[in-house]
Amino acid sequence: MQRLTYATAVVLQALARGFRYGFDIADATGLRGGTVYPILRRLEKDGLIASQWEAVSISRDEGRPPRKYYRLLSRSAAHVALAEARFPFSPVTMDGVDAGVGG
Amino acid sequence: MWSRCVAAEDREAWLREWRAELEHAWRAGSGEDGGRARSSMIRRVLFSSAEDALRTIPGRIVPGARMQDVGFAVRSLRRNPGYALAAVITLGLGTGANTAIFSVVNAYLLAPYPFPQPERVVALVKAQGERMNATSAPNFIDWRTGGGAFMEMAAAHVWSANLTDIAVPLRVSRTRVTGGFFDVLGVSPLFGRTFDDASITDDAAVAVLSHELWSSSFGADQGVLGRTVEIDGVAHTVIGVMPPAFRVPPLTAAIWVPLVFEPDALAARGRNNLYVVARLKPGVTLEAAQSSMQPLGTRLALDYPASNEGWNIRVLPLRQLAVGSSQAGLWKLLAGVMLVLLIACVNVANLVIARGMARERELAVRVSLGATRSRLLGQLLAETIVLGLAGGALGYAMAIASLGPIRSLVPAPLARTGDVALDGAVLAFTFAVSLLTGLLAGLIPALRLSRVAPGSVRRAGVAASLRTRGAASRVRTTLAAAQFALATVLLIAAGLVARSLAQIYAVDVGVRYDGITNFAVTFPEAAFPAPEHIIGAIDGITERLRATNGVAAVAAISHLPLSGARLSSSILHEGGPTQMATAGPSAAIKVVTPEYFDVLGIPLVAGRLFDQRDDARTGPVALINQSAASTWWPGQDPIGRWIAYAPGPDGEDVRMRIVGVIADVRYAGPTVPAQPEVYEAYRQTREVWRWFGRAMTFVVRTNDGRTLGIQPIRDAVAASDPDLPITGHSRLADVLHASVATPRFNGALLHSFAALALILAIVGTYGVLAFAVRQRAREVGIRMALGAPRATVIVGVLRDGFRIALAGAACGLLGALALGRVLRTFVWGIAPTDPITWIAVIAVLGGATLAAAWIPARRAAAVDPAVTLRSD
Repeated sequence: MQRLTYATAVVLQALARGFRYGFDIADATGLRGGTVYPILRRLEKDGLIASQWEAVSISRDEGRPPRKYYRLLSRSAAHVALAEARFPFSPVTMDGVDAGVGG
Repeated sequence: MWSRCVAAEDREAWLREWRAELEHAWRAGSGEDGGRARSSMIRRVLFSSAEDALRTIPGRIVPGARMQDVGFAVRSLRRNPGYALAAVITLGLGTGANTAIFSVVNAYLLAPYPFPQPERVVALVKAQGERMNATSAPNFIDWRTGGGAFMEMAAAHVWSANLTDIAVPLRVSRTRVTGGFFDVLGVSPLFGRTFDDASITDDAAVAVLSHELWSSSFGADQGVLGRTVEIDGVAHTVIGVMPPAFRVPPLTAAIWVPLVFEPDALAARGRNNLYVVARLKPGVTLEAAQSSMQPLGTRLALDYPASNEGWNIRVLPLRQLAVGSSQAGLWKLLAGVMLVLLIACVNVANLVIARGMARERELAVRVSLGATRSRLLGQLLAETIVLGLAGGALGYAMAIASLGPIRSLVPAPLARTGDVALDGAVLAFTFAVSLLTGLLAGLIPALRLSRVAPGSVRRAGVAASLRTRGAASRVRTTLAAAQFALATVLLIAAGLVARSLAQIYAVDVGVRYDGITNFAVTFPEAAFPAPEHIIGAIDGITERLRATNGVAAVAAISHLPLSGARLSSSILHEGGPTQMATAGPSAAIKVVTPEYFDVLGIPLVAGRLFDQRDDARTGPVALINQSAASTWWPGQDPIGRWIAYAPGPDGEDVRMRIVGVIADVRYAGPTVPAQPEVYEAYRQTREVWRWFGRAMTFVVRTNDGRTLGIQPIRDAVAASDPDLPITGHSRLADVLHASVATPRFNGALLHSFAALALILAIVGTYGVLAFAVRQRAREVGIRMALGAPRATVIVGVLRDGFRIALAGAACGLLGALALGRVLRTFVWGIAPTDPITWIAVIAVLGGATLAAAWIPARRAAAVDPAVTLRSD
């Protein structure tokens, strides 16, 4: 992990609040999809998050194609903490305050 | 589509994820709003995936680089338009020059031939050391029989012919080829058919047209198949048209017709007029083919010493036959222009360092905020890569603009082999070069600047990190000196070519070419079967032209000086060997009308010229040039002696009596010394007409020295035969100009390179000095306050400038000395160490240094001590 930009920080914050999927994260953070995906990929490469294809059975039950989900790994804790500390008033955290999402 | 941007190893996972997204978007939102939600979701997926893919690009070019860096670089450059502009123009000049030259190299040396497996097609020639020659029909047949390494072998006889029975009679290139020709190359016609070994006996009078001729003279009419055209007065049926890209000099022509060897050709082993091409068998290399032909060559030399002694067979890539010696020159030009690019890179590197010194504070702040060195490196490199790409775009535009002048300069033998164009290969080259220049220009400065210490931010105010600055200016000084070194090499090369050209133009070729108009007419056998017919036509054209207003004199010759045309023959001469042999005496044979020597101002040295008495009824006479006289009869009077080169009707060699000696003429061009020449009176010539293709070039001198227009010429020729095409209507001075096209091409390009290099070196040195003066304004101010006179300050800056130039120029001169062998190919009549060139180059360098140092020196002298001392 080389640096913590605003975009990376809010993506981490969104993952920490349970958003697990590319466009959900984009919606939650207000970032463009084209910005979110490269960040997710980089975080995965840096070993901070892991990705996983949804089980086919679930998606079949819901009548849609499987999605690729991302989740935080335990070693990202310090980074998430840094993200929260540095950008305490991001759209993700504000959402959290207003709507009580996550936690 | 954009998945191509993603690295190959990640592409599959990438595609899978985005495909799932797309499918998801497709299934979702099929609600009651008529699919609007769906299409907006799909659009979102498509845009996001494209952005995602594009963002992977910088990381693939420079590991660790990110799109963000590029954006940052663009913003940062936009804030410094002056700096950005200077860098882009500098890189643009370098890239543009490279693109232009590469387009030439690409067109002539790299673009593949338009047929399958072009690398398997080879040419076979007779070779004697470095000398190469075409071969004869009997040799070709032996080669084909013994050529086990080849799938197919074919011969081509390249000549030109009068094409009539069409709207405007034309003189066109006509290649006669044996049946295997189209099979060797593996080309199919655009439509219609070609001929092959099986059909060639039935196909004696057929013709295959080039796309160009078909378009220009037949209106691109598909109905041309089956049409009859007259080629040198003989009817031929058109059976096919070749595709437009089929241009394989020297084998391509306007028309291909079958070549079936006549008995006399099969008997003439010394008549070397055939190009031979072959396709290698699968798995056979060029080298293997070469060694397989070696024993055959040795045997033919033993069996037929008169024609083959000393000659062997050489197998070479087809392209070498077409491009020949131009190849080395082109590569050297590309090397030369690469030097310009290198200078441009060095220049920009210098700019970047200079700017970096001013940005030290910004960089230090970033480091203290946690930026790692590799992040800084990535950002700094992103900046020069953006500059490089912008320069590349500018360079490409400049290359487009320079295409016209370059095309007009390309020497004719090259120009026939292809078209200089900016195609995909050139674009790829420009892109690669731009990227490379960006990296190159950025690397040294980026490595230097990214080493910024976080602490330096605190010192940035007063005398920011003097240590770093000292080191940085040393790097900049070295880079400026390197520019001078590179520029010096180019200047020397350019100077040598300029001097060579001057030498070439100063050579007296032996003819007066000012105010002479020339044109050629070929008399086909069908319409002019006997020598008398040709002589009659020559007389008719001459008479009519002479009666034209403004014409002072008219003459005709078989081989125009400087045109490169030449008919060489073994000869016998009084007191020489009694048998003709390839190794024996030989001469260039020329047929002339009596006025020829007067029109071109060639002086008579001894004896008399031809006159109207010298015709078929009188004894055969000849004129020779001084070289012939001194070669065959050194120190003796040649008048009244005999020579012979052609058999008469009875098979006996006809002895011609020498009646006069004329001055030497450099027929092959200014750089080629005169060879022995024999002139024959046109009224006495019999056998030779056939040998040189029955063509005569008329030379016309006008009263006022102006060029004679085409119309009176057309009228005069049409009066003899309306079907005779006129070719090569030009000024003789232009023919001379064309004969030195290659040195002119090299010269024009090298001069532009050298000028560019010098400008860049001046700008680079100026930059270093100007920056140093600004940095040292305080020191200068103090010194002046302490009483240093302005002159001392000026001299000090100039001395710094000359120190840079001197170090660079010394390295450059040493480099040029080491490159002597390379430079030699550009040089004629002088040594690569030509003192005049070297002194001139040193003078130019001195001037350039002065130009670079003068303004900074004046600025230093203008420093106001009071202002500087108060400033901090």
